[in-house]
Amino acid sequence: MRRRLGIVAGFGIFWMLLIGARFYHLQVVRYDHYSNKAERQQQRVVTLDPPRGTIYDAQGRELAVSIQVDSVYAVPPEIEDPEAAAAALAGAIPGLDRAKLARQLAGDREFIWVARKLDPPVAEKVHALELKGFYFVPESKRYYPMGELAAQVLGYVGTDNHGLAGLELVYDREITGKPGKRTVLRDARQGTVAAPDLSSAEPEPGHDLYLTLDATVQHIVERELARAIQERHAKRGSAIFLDPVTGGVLAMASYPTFDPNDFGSYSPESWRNRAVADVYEPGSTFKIITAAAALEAGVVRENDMVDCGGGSITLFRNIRVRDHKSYGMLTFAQVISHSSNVGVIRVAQRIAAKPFYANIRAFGFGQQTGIDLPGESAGILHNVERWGLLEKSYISFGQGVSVTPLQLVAATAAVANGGALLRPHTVAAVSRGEARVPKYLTPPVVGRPISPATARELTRLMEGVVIDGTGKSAAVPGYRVAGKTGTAQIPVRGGYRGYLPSFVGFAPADRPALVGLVAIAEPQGSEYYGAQVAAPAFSAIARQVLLYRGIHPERPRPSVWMGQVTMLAGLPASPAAAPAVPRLALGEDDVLADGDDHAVAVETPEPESDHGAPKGGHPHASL
Amino acid sequence: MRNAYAFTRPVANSYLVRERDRRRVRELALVLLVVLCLGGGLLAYTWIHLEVTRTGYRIDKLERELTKQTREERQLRLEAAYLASPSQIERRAIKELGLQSPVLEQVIFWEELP
Repeated sequence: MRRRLGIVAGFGIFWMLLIGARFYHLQVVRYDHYSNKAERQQQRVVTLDPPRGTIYDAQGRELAVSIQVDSVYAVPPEIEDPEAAAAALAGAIPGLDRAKLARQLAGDREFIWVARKLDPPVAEKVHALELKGFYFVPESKRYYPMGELAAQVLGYVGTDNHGLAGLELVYDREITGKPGKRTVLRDARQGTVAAPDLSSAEPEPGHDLYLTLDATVQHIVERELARAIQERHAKRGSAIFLDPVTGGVLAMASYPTFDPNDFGSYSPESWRNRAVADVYEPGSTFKIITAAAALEAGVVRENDMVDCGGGSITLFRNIRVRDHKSYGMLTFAQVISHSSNVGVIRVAQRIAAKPFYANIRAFGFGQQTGIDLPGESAGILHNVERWGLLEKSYISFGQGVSVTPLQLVAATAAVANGGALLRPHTVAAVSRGEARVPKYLTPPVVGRPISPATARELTRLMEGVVIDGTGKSAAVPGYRVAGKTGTAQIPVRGGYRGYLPSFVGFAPADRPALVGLVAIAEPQGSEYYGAQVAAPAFSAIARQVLLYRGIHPERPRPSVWMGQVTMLAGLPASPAAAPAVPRLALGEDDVLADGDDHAVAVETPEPESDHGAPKGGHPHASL
Repeated sequence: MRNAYAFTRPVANSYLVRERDRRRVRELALVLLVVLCLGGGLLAYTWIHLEVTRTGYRIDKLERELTKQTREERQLRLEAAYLASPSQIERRAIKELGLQSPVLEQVIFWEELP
């Protein structure tokens, strides 16, 4: 009996020793191996996407916003009926290739993307299907709520959430932020459990951008540009409007355009920001620069007489430049207002080539303006050392030199603001936490190509263009407009093809609040001059933008408008507006605010007499 | 067995008192204390562990809820931004309200007020 007990006890002890040895092996010898394995099985590192910064317009309206959406992936081994699953998904996700998905699901891959970054309503439909073997992962998606508005300026982002064009590309580092990581525990059902004791690093959100661009101004410019192009059956065009005091871009439009929410569906041509990337021979609009150089050099004054001869000038042997008609003797102001090529050439011949070239360079031509947008062209301006006999004459009336619309409008802004060439820019401030850090504390002056006196004289010349010259159609009732028309030919290999009418100008001429350019390429039909095509578009834009920005016109103070008011421009929305309203015999409820701190419209009572308000009972709105 | 009988004889041992083994009582108390401590510790450990896990699930659920709410808030902001776009306002002002853009003569500027 005792012997048997001994044997059993011996086996027991041996078994326990074996177990102990195994425990020792697992817990001590192989500790690192198995603890790492357990961690891999039980823990999961989740990457936390940082929210991409929002892009706001000058009034704080959101132009580009990121939101988290779902992407769907599949684990094919878990799917029992690939055909049925593919059919169900194809019904829920627009544009999904059912046959291709079914083939992929029937394959032997462990993981396949079904669809990336689904719009929320589509994701809801897919969630509702409750398909086995399909999982969701949140990803950040960029939305442009205003669609095509300022598309070429804003740009777009790729699937990897990085900017590919426009401001999204230039400011990608600031907007993107830094991703975070969090370690979570996984339970038996593959669910996640937060474990506060495990490592985590919160994502750093991207910085927000606050633009100088105003969505309303941009809308007006885009609308009028598209209208002008469609009316003339033109092929393309661009328009830029700047604040001449700060150099901030108020609007920048290119046509044709695209919707950055779906940029892949548009031709790459429409992605092009023509205002900064396209170069063209400016034609007569460049006479502003020649006039500036001549006035600055003191070789001519606005009332000096210039002999425009019989309407043509021989530059070399049989090379002749003509005017539309024979002007005879003109003052220099008339040379500019009538846009006489002969007169401008004669004046340019009084300036030496080097100072002329230096002045053109000082206005920023032949070099990038430094705007914070990608793809900017420097234009073409040959070095004065390479100028031939005819170069100066041709350049004086805008041929033999190529510029971007942005360069020309920046140079015109220098005339408008008294001689300071500013660096055009689109971003006013970048957020740093709760604070907004302005990009420039003072206007970014990059040079002073002309004196204030020359700028004033040149402004008078440009005003003459609109009052009594080729630019009459750019006039805006109630405001003094200064500008210059241009009709360039588009150079192609071996000659020219089509026209590029343009108008560049600013308003009001005496207190500039707006400087802009409209350029329209290849209008069809018999009307292709800047005065016929571009100047009316400039006028339409300037009229609406000046009104929107609260720039009051030059007119007698209205004193008998009680009950006739249809709009209060530049008036802060309620409650600040309230004290003014009773004086106009209007109720506070009559003021409709547009959310931009400006009252935009009130109901129109039927006019009783001819006080200046037009007859008719239509209510009015301004945007 | 029917004819069997038994004698009963009283035993007078009531004066005998069992001696208390204090040492054994102390040992027993010590063992009980150790068992209670170990058991209590084990229970406390299990309870804490369960609570941590339960809290982990709660945090995870709240984080999901927060993510969902944040997502909804962003979607609403997106919708608001879409509706605030000038082209939308213009379209609705013209088509739905029958408004039209004013001309300069219909506008009074703040600076022009007497």
